Amino acid sequence: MTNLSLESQFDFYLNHPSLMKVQQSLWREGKGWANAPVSDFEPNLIFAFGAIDALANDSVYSEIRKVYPTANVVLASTAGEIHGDEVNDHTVSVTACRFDKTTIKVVEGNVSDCANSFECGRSITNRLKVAGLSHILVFSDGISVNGDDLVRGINDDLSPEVIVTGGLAADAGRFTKTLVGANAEPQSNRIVAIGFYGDKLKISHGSHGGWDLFGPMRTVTKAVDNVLFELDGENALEIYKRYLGPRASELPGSALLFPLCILGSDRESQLVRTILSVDDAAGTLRFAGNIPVGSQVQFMMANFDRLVGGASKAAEQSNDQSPELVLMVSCVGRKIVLDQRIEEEVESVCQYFGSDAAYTGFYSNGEISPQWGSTQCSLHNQTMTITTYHEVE
Amino acid sequence: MTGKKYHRLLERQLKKFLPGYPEVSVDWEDLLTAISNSYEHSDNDRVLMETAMRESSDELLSKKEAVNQMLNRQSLVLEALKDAASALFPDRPSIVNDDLLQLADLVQAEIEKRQIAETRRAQSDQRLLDIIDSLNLGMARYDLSGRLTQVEPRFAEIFGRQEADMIGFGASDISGSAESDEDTRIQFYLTSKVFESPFRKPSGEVTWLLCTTAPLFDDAGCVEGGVIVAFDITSRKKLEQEMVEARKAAEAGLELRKTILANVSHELRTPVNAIVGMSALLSSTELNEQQRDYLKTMRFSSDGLLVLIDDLLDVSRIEAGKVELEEIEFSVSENFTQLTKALRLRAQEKGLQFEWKLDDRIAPSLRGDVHRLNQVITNLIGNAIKFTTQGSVRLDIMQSGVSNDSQLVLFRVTDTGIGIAADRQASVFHAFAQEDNSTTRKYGGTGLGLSISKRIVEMMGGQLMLSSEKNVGTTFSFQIELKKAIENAPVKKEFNPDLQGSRILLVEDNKVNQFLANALLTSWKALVEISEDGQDAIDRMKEQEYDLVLMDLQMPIMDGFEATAHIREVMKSKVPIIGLSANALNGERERSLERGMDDYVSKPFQPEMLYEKIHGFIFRS
Repeated sequence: MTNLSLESQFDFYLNHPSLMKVQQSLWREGKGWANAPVSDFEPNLIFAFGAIDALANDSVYSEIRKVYPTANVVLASTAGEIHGDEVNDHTVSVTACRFDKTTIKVVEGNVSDCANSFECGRSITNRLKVAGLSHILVFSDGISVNGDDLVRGINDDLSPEVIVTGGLAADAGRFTKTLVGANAEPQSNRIVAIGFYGDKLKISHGSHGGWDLFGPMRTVTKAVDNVLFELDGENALEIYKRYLGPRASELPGSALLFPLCILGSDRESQLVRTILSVDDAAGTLRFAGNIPVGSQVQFMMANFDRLVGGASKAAEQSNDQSPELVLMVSCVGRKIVLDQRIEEEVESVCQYFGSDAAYTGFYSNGEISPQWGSTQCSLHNQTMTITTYHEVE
Repeated sequence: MTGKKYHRLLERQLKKFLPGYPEVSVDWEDLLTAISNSYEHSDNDRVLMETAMRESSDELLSKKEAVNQMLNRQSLVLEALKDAASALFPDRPSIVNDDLLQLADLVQAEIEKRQIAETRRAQSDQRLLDIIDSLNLGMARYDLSGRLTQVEPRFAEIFGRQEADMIGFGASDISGSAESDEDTRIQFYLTSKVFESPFRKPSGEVTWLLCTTAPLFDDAGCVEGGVIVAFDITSRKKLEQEMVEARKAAEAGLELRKTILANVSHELRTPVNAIVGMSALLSSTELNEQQRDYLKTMRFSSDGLLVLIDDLLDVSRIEAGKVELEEIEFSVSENFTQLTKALRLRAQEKGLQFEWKLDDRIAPSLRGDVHRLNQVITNLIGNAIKFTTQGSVRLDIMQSGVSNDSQLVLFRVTDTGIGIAADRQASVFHAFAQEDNSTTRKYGGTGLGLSISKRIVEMMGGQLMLSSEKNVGTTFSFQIELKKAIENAPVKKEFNPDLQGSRILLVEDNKVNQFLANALLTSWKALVEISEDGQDAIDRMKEQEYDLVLMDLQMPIMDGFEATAHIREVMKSKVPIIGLSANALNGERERSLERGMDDYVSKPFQPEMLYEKIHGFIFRS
C-alpha cells in the first residue's frame, strides 16, 4: 500500500519523464504556508481550492501571485480540501501545473450578467470554442447557480468530443455563500472555465456515488425547476423532516444525508440531487439541479463501504495508467456522512493511481462530469468525480 | 484537565483504561476530541438510520396496506367486470377470464360496434324527424306530468313560439282537451287519441290543429310520458265551416221553396175552390144547352187546375215525408167500376179501346188508402191514354198472393203507345221529367204524376215497375198488399143531405169561401150565421148558442187558433168546432186539435165529406 503521508508531500516535486510538471503547496488558515511554493519553474495554471474563510481573509491569491506572477490562477471555496491523500479543513490546497504541449485559456463570467444559468453556460462555450478545444474545466458559484441549467448551457453548442468536468464551489456545508475567481480575489456569483487546447493532453474521467436506495418510490407531483414542493401530493419538506428526526434542526446541511435519486424511465440510469436550501415558510426545498414533475424519485442513504468503494470505482472508470495530476471533486454530502473517515475514499483513489501522480481536489456542492458511458457532461451530486491529466509527445 | 466532557463511552473507557484520568496531558486533547467526535457521529448516524428505517418501514407498511386495499378492490372490480362481460357476451362464456387486456379489447370492440349502431339509430331517428318535419307535422314529447320535454322545430312553429320557450309547457295548455280537471287532462294525453282542437297563438290568431297523442313506454314497459303530433288544419277547418254555412243556406232555401210552394198552392186553391164550388152551384140551376156546354168546359179546366195544384202539393208533402196513408174499407168492384167509367170515356174520345179485368179471386172488400190507390191508377191510365194514339189501353187487377187476412194484388196498366226508350226509362220517375222536352211540348203535363205515383206505391210497400219498347207500348205494374175487409162491408149510403133545425156559425174572412160554404150549408137546410173573424165569432157566441162552428184558421184581428182557445178556456164552451184551412200542409191539423178543435177539414172540401163530419157532430150527440 502506498502511503503518501502529509509530511512526504511537503517536498513533493515530480520529475518523472512526463512533459507536464506539477508542484503542490499548502496554506493553513490564519497561519500561512505549511510548505511554501518554490518558483523554480514557470507554471501556466494554478489551482487553489480552499476554505472560504482562508480565501476571504488571508489574501491567499496575492500570496500565490507573488510566487507565480504570470500563471493563470483559479480559485474556488470548498467544504474540504483534498491535498495528496489527505482531506483538510481550514487550508488552501495550491497546485501549480505546467503544460508544455497544451494551450490554456481561462474565462470568467458573472451570474448576474446573464439572463439565467443556461445562458451563462452558453456564453462560456462561446468564449472558449476555438479549434483544438479538447477539454473544459468549470468551477462555478455553488449557491446562486442552477448547476443543471449551467451544464446544459455549456453543452448546448459544444462538440461531444470536448470533455467537460468540474464542480460547484462550497462553503463547508453552510450553503450560504461560495467564492470563485480567476486571476483575482475570488467572489460570489462567479463562474470560471478553463479551456484546454491541443491533442497532446490526455484526459480521462470517472464518476461514481455508491449510495443505497431505500424507502418507497415516489412521484414528483409539484416542482418548479429546481424547487420541489410535493411528492405524491405530500409536502416534500415535511417528509424530509420526518425522516431526519432529531437531525431536522440541522437542515439544510442534514438533507445531504438523504440525497434524492431521480430514476430514469428505464429505472437503470440514476441522477442524484442534493438540497442546497430550504424555505420553511414556503415549505419548499431547493436542489442543485432540476426536479422534473412526474419523475420517479427515491431517497438514498449512505453505506460506508460502498461510498469508499464508489470512489475507487470512479478511479477505475477514468482508467489512466500514468496520470500526472488527479483532480478529485467529491460531494460535501459524502464528507458529512463519512466524517473522520472521509480520507478513506481519497486513499482508495490514490491507491489506484499510485504515488507518481499528484492529487488535488475539493468537496463541492455539485460535481460536473459526463455520465459513465456517455460523453456529454451533466451535474452530479453525492459522487466522487475524477479527472486525470497527462501530456504526451 | 480542560474540564471538557467527552462522549460518555469514551469517558467510561478513559476511567477504566487511562491511569490518573481525568488528569490528561494537553497533548492528548486533540486525539481524545477526535475520538469523542467519532463516537458522537456514530451515535448520530445510528439515530438517523433508526429514524429513517422506522419511517421507511411505516411508510412502506402503509403503502403495502394501500396496495392491498387496491388489490382487493381490483379483485372486486375484476369480478364485477367478469359478471358484466358474461352479460355482454352471453354466447361466449369462454372469453370471460382473468385476462383484463383481452377483456378490454373485446369491450372496446363491442363499444365500437354499439357506437356504430347508435350512430345508425340516431341517423334513422333524424330521418324520421326529417320526414315528420317535411310532412309539416309538429312533434313533441312530454313527461308523466304532461310537461313538454322535447319540442321539434315545426311543432314550435305551429304554435308561433320558440322551441326552447315551449319546454316545460303543459301538453294540455297548448291544446286543451275538454277535460277541465288537470289529472283527467293528463290522463287524456297519456292514451292514444285523435282529436281536433283550436289554439290561440301569442299573436291572437286562432289555429286549428288535428292532434294525435300516444303514450311512450320505458324499458320496463311502464308509461313514462307521451308524444303528440299536431297538424295545422286551419284552412281545412275554414272550408268545412264555409260548407256547413252553405248547406244551412241551401237548406233554408229549400225550406223557403217548400213554404212558397205551399203558400202558392194555398193562394191558387182558394180561387179555384171558388170556381169549382160556383160551377157546382151553377150546374144545379136552370141552364140552356149552350150555357151547360160552357159550364162543362169550365169545370173540366178547373178540375185540371185542381189536379195540378194537388200534384204540386203532393210533391212537396211527399218530399217532406208528411203524407200519411189512411186505411179505408172499400168495395173493389164498385170502386174500379166507378174509376174506369170516366177513364173509358176519355179513351173512347181518342178512339182507343179500353178494357179492364178484375181477377175474381180478389175479395169483394179490401182495406187500404183507396183514394191514393185510385190516384195512382188514374195517373197511370191517364198517361197511357195521353201517350197512345191508336190501339188500346188496359188495366189488369190480379191476385199474386194471399194470406188469412190480406191479399197481394198486382195492378198492371198496358198501352200500345209511343213507348219509352230504354235509356230514358229510369228518369221518367223523376219529378218534372218526361222522356224529353219535345214530349212535354207535344203531350203537355208537368211530369209530376209518375214521380208521385212511384212514391205512393213505395209507401204502400210496393214498387212501380216499367217495361217498355219504343213505338210498341208501355206497361206499368206494381203489387201491394191489401188487408181483407171485415165481413159485412158497409153499404154505401145515398147522399141525401139534411141539416134542418141546426144552427151553424161560419167564421170565415174570405168572401168567396163565405159564399161557397154558406151556399152549401144553406142547401143542406142549416141555419147559417157568418162571422168575419175570431173576435166577432166570440162576441156572437156570447149572444147566441150554436150547434156547431166552422172556423177558418187564418183570419185578421183574431185567428182561428186563438179564438178556439178562448172559447174552450175562457168561455168553457164545448160546442163542436171544425177547423177549415186552405193551407194543406200537415201540422195544421195537429195544431188545430191541440187548440181544442174537434176536427179539421182542408179546403176545397168535398161536400160529402164535410156533410158527414157536420152531421156526425150535430146529430150523434
